[in-house]
Amino acid sequence: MSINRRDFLKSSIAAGTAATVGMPLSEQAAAAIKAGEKDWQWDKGVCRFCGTGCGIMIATKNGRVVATKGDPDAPVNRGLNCVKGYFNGKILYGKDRLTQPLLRMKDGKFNKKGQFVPVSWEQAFDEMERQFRKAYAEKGPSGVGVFGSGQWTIPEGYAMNKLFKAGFRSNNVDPNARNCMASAVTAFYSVFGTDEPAGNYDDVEYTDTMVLWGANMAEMHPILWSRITNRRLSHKPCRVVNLTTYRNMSSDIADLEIIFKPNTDLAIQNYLAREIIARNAVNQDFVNKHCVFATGPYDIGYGLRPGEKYAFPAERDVVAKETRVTLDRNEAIAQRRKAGDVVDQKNTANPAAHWLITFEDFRKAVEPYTLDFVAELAKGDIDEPLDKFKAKLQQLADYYIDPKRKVVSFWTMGFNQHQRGTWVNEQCYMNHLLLGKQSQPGNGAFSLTGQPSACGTAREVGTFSHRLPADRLVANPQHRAETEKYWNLPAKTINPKIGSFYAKLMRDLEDGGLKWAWVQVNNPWQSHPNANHWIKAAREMDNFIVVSDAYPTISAKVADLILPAAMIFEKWGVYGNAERRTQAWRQQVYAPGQARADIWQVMEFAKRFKVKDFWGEQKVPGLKEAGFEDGKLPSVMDDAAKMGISADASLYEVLFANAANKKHRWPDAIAKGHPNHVADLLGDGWFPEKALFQEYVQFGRGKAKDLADFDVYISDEVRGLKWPVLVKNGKWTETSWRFNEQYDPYVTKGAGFEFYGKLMKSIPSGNLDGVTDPTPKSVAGKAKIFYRPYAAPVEQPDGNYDLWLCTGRVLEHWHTGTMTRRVPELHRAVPAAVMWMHPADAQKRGLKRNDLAWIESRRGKVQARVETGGRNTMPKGTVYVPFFDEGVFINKVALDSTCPISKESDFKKCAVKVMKV
Amino acid sequence: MKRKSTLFAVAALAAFGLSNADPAVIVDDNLGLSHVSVFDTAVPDAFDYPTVDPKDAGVLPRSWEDAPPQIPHRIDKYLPLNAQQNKCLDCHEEPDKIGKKAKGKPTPMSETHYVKEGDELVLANRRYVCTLCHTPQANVNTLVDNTFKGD
Amino acid sequence: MEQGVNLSGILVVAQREWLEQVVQGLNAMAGVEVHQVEPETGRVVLVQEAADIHAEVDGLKQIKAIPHVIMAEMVYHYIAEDGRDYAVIPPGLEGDEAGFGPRAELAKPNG
Repeated sequence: MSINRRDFLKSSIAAGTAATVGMPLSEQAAAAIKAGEKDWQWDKGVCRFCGTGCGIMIATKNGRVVATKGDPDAPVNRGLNCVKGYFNGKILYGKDRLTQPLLRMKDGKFNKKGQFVPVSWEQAFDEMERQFRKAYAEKGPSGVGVFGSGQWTIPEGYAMNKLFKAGFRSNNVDPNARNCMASAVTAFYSVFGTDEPAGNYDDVEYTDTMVLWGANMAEMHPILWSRITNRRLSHKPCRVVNLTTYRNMSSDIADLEIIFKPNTDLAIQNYLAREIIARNAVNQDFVNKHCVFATGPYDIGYGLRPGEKYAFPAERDVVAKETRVTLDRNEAIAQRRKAGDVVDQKNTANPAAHWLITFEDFRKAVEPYTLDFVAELAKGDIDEPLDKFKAKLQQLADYYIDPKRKVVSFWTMGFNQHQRGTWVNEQCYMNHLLLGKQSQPGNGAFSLTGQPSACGTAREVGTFSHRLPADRLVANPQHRAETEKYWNLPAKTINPKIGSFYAKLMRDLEDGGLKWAWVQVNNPWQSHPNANHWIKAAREMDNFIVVSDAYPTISAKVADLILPAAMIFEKWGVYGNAERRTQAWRQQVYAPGQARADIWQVMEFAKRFKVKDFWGEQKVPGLKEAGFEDGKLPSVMDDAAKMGISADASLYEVLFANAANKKHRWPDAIAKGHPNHVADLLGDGWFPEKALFQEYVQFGRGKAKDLADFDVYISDEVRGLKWPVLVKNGKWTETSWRFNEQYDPYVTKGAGFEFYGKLMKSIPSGNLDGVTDPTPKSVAGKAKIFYRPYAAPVEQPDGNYDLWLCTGRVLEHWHTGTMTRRVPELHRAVPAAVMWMHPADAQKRGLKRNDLAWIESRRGKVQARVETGGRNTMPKGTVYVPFFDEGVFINKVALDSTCPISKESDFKKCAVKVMKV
Repeated sequence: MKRKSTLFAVAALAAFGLSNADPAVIVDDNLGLSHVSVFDTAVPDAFDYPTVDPKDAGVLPRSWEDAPPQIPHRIDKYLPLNAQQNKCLDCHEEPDKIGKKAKGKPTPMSETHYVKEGDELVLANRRYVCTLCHTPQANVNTLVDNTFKGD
Repeated sequence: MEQGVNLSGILVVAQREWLEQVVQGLNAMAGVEVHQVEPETGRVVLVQEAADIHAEVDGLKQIKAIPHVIMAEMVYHYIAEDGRDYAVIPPGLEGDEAGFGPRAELAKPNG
């Protein structure tokens, strides 16, 4: 029965009218409604964009997405989406979708200097394989690598991780999540011994105080912001504080706005700690029972590539600070030294080392962070009176310390993309722990995440160069052995040498160490800072770069081979959001042309290699590990044979389509008629996404990282579950607050709280200056309260480059704009990146709104239009430029300094000059 | 500074967009949205948001039935939108006119923006920040066509 | 360009014994479609399509004027003045606002 839209509307209105007046629906009307909706098939999905993880409903008809809406049953968003989220369906339909592989060719052959020519998948994989074998033969496992993503689905990230770490014996897999929340991870490890937040989004409705630390949630986590706004407007005592380096949309709802100078959040945190102690507000019982005090070295560098060899001439003065720093007055006070002291950066190789100190040491360390010192150092708006700023800092301390107030601190990129990102994360826990306001409903330091599966895929699956699934580390022999067991690998298959982190993969391309790279679900050449280096490395060095994407990006432009990828609802998937919620969806429609899911690409590539290609002895320069010969991975071929693995078996058969996985058959009733193009194309009757997920869940079970079965997440009744998910009374039951006995089944009975994470829980003892007793002491079950000092940014405005540049996102676009700029509504909402600037700074340079300006740093320059109004209000001396717009390629300007511990780039502060074009 | 001639760029793009079988060469510079070499600097165009007053603005078409309506008029005069003031609500919060949009009058917010308190519809505070979902639309060309069709 | 659409859902209550005549009269009106009739109560649900808001109000007046109609009330209303069909009141598709927040089954917050 066909029914046109207007008739359907009329039937709906009639039905609505009847329902309103309490008339039962006539059979005729019910049939008409059903017929009208029948050609719209609704199914649940997850938003493609930020780490909030909103539920959406997707309507399809005739093989196309025709509508989406916020999922009313999703606990995260209850039916609401942000403007990007509403356009989840439309992102699939940009006219320039990539529909076939494109290879750089000249005269019918691959040529790095050639131009792109459409080729078949067969030809594409042939060249990809040839280049891979060449790179591997020359450089071994270190010569190949993957730029992965926090937007990978869990099965996708898991598949690539396994192919590289088990198959190719290379740990060179690192996600763009490195540039997003690596600092959060390192702090979770050092403080709690396990990754990811204790709390969840319901904290918003339980708390009375929310403090934003360098997180413009109004734009970057809009739906969480709608919950915060609701709480602020509905709950009278609720207060919101926005700590930021410029006024943004989040200030509009805030009660207190604190504009601070870059990096001085480190000092403000220590002021709060000092104040907590001075006001006798330390929660002695909590601290004594559940915490210890610790510190680490200060001379850890800035994550820059040391030496002058690769630096542009203009970069050399800043790069030199990687090895030697002269302390300024503020740093000297903060670190209890003398101004002008020259400090060699001796701990760049081991920046994460730390040791126990006493509370008395801690108290002494925060003593210099008086209100006077911190206010003068931190005040970020030159036009704000110092007294007013001081009063604000005191008010902030009042909010934290007030015993009647519950407090949640939120942060994302402001803390994480920070030259001392790990430290400042640790400091936030420091204050919550000192006050005992942690791991309780409405009380806690809450690290938000940027990407839809930064938690699920990057962190939990461990698609980092130093990680293995479920909090396991490459460097830990026991973790490698466990992983080998779950993956059914011979002992010592996994390379004990950690791979290159994201920035290092780029540097490896530049120095020729990396010869072959595969990019999936991200756009590193637009999103990684100091881009001129990496563009040159890609285009002018001898290497082969494969980019899988749905649309042609900057990374595709510099690639040698472009593979057309299926997008989110064109494949099955699972994502994990920032509150530990795992959510899954079915394939809704087919990808256009020959575009295929990333996981299919991984498996097809795996088919081309045999076990014996990699499991013999391999050279790994620099490998030094107990039980291994220096510089070598042993042959595991004999052990493989004993396990029944044939030397001639393909990696596809061994790692993926093995007997255990093939038990998960396709077709599967849970599909409810939805297709799976990956299963169909592989054609060997198994359900790869489900099988790999079921293999993966073994890693976390019993380790406080428990996940439910794939079918549970797919089922229509479930809108995600927060791990650890355990069966209680026959029901899969989620965990809302970790480390708190009341909610977390992993806490020992009677303990109250227990920070049971196992990593870094055995450390030496010392004082503020260093280790005095190297004997490791167990701090099992405890959280560490770190003292970390203020450190000045490595690059600061001077006479030449006289302005601070901060970069970031806007509400309406996602990351590099690859998807959202192809949605006309979102494009018209923000057509181009502009440079927000104080009107006086503009005027000084002869600029006014909409004028074209050069923005130039030591590393590169771009042009942008000036904006002196709009949603951001800059203090004098600071400009803000979003990075979504490839036409305003701001990452050519940004600095590639990282947190030396987390290796996450600092996109938030560098020095630039601005001139009229 | 563009390296390739515009004519060639157009031809290459047409081949790229339309013909899958044709082994036409696609010049890397022309891929993507900025259409310049990765070694060059693009020149961003200036743009402006509408300056039309609400009473003179029409209604923007929606992408599909329940797509959030975008803003057809200027909003600069009505910002900031903060805890103390929300000028959008001055015109659009009309719980007794839900669904009764009249020509030349504001579009009343839909029922989803309210909660029931007794018999009264009061604003849902989660919907307070209008610009999370509704944005003014600058008068610019799309970068790439989009073939999405609401049913 | 397609004409704009202006749809309203109207509840009519007629004297039960005259129901058939009332329905005939309604069906005779331009733009009116009777969707449901409940003989026990004399209630009728109809959908009226009108060119604009004035025609819509006029139509409602005409319905009220039909003999034996006790009452007529507009219950639902759709409008699309840009020539496209879209809902002002989504047909029960949007999420409800009520009940948002910590769910009942979560343990009570401590402190």
